[in-house]
Amino acid sequence: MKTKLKDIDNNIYNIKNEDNSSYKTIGLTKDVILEISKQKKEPKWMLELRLKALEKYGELPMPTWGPDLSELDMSKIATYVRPRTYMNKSWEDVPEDIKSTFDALGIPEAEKESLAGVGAQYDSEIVYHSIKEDLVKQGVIYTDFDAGVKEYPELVKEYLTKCVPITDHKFIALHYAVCSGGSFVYVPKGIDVKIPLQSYFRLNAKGAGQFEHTLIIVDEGASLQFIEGCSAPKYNEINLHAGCVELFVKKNGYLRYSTIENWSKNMMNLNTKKAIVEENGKIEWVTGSFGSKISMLYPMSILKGENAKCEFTGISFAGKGQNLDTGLKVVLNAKNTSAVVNSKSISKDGGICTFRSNILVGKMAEKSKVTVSCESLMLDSISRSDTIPVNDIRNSDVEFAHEAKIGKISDEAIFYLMTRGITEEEAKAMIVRGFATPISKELPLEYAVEMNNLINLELEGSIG
Amino acid sequence: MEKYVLNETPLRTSNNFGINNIEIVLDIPSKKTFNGFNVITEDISKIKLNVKEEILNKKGTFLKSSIGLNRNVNYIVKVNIPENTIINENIKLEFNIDEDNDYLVEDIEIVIGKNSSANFEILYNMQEKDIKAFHNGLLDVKLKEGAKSKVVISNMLNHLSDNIFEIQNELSENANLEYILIDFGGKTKISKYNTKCIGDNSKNLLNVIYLGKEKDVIDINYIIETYGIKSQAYINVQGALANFSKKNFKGTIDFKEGSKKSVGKENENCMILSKDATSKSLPMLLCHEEDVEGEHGVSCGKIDEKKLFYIMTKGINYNDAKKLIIKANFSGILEKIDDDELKDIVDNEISKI
Repeated sequence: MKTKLKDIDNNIYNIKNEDNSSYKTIGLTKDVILEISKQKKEPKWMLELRLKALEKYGELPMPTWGPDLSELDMSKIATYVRPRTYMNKSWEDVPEDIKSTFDALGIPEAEKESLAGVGAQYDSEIVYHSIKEDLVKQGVIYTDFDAGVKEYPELVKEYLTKCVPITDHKFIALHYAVCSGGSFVYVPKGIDVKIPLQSYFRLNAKGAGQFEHTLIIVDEGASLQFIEGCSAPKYNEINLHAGCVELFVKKNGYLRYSTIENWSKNMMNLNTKKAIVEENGKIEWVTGSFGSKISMLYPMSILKGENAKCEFTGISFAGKGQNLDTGLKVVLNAKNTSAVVNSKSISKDGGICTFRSNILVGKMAEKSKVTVSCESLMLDSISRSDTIPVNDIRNSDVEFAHEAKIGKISDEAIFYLMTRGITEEEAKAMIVRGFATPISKELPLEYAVEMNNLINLELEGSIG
Repeated sequence: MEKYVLNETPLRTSNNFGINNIEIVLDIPSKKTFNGFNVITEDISKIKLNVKEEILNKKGTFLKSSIGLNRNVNYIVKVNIPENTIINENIKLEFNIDEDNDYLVEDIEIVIGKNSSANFEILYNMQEKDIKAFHNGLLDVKLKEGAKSKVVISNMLNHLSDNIFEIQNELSENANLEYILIDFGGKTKISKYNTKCIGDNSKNLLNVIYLGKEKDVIDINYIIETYGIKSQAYINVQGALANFSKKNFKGTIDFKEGSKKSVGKENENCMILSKDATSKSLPMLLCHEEDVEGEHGVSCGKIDEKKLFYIMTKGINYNDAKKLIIKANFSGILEKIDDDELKDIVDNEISKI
């Protein structure tokens, strides 16, 4: 007896608009980079950074571990796709086909109901941006990354690449060479942004790459909740996402960074996210990975100041043809730092979920505490679920505990629920939903609903 | 002196984490004869014993082990327990390493026949403190249907020596194999352990105690693969690291497709006794089968100060209290050793930390 679960219904996410881009570059050469830089009319220092990154891309090796990336052919990837519009401050000014896509994804609706600011990226450029006036008056900056480079060059230069250097790995070098779009956020000292900001990244063009850069600085005593969503329609060609997120949480700062990723199943998602957290600061990662053909995503937290904290709550759901290699990295490098990790994964229909982590407790991290818990649920035997955690402890005065569990849906739990009059199918569905609850309850309401919808769509099945 | 890359994990992770393998410089001496072997058993007629010194051909058996090092074998021991044979007393295989016998690259092959039972103690003894020995052992154990065995391995090489050791096990249906590995000796300790639970209802339990002192480098790579239905795989590792010692623990339970109803548990507990000691661990769970139960846990840290304080309130000094706690952590495994003489030796070594 098996629960047969459907693949995620991507009707909403699978809206395909005609490729009406106004400009496009293919491949990765010096000429392509010069052209992107020219199109963007960006400062010379940004072009220099791109060219340096291109050089590094050529030098750095492909990963010798993780999923097979041999299908990726950079010479065929559209590295820059400019939609036929510029950034707008009103949804009414956004071209109808693009606006209707974001309507279907619920972005304007969410903006009205529960967000303090929205950025919407379509292919390589932000097409819509807004921020509530009261936040602007308090000195909060929330704009697209390209505007940040032009309007706040000193601030951007001070932080750009300081968290994620261009030498980090091959795909981050690629990112810096062709980066376009993304968000720039600065929350001044002591400002509490009570309502979340949200950026949504939509990749429409076939065979294209998206390389957005998100740079967030939460200054001393400030706090912010930032939500990131991403999706794309499915094509038969490989699409690539190699974004970069650099987060700076200053003394006593707080940042919650939530992501629901539902890329199409032809997407290679090779994203890089990193946070530097100073004294008494706190970073919270909440992440749901549902889409993509291949994901390699390991948000990293560097706990640099005393009492800095990190919480990671994440779920991955891999179905047919998906290889989701996700996890996290934490470096504890100061006294009394702490990290709490709670990760879950579900694999079915031949999907592969890999939890990969690296926790490094440095010599300076006396009295630090780390708790890691990961649970994996296998829904059939053609799938895979691997747990590959590396724990590197260089300090004796530390409390470190890591535990992981792997298994199927408990027969006893199904039996118990069935004795209460629930069908076997619904019993199994309830257990899977319950398994994901610790993650969904951490998400903002709209995203929790979206995540639950994604899971519910999976769970409409029959018993065979 | 040559640099080697050894002991690869079954699955690679990022090179930046520095645990996929170990890069180490070793000075491997030329092959010599070894005359320090001794076997003790209750009734030699019950077993088939074949001992062979590989001394004539200086080139010897020059095969690369799965650790990744060429092995120029100088000693071969083969033990075969025939079907339906029960050996009550432990069979002791003693390798006495000294100034004249400081090169040991041995192959040990143990085959336990269907429905037979025999326990082994494999002892690597060394008294001299000021000579450097080289040991690169390979133990191959096969348990046929319904066979049962407990193997205790004691590594007591001195802290100038290099100890490289590989264990391969293959278990048939209903076979039950337990290991107790006391891994104390050598400034370099590189070990690999691989069990294939081929048969249904086969069970493998690995208990390990390691100690790191001075500038010891420890690289551990334990793998149990389940193939048969209702296989059981347990890895229980307890360790303590003092001074400047460094340890990599790589433990893998790999549920292969078809190993339904199998259970695997893996646990490592590392006590860090010095601010300069470092512990890396990679407890992997690999799963290609839905109907299994797998779990792993790793804990790491210094000795519990509350426990220390409690013991010291009973009039015991700090160092003795610390040793008591270390011994208490190891006691679950030590109690499984039924040779009192060996237990005393192990106890004495722990006291020196």
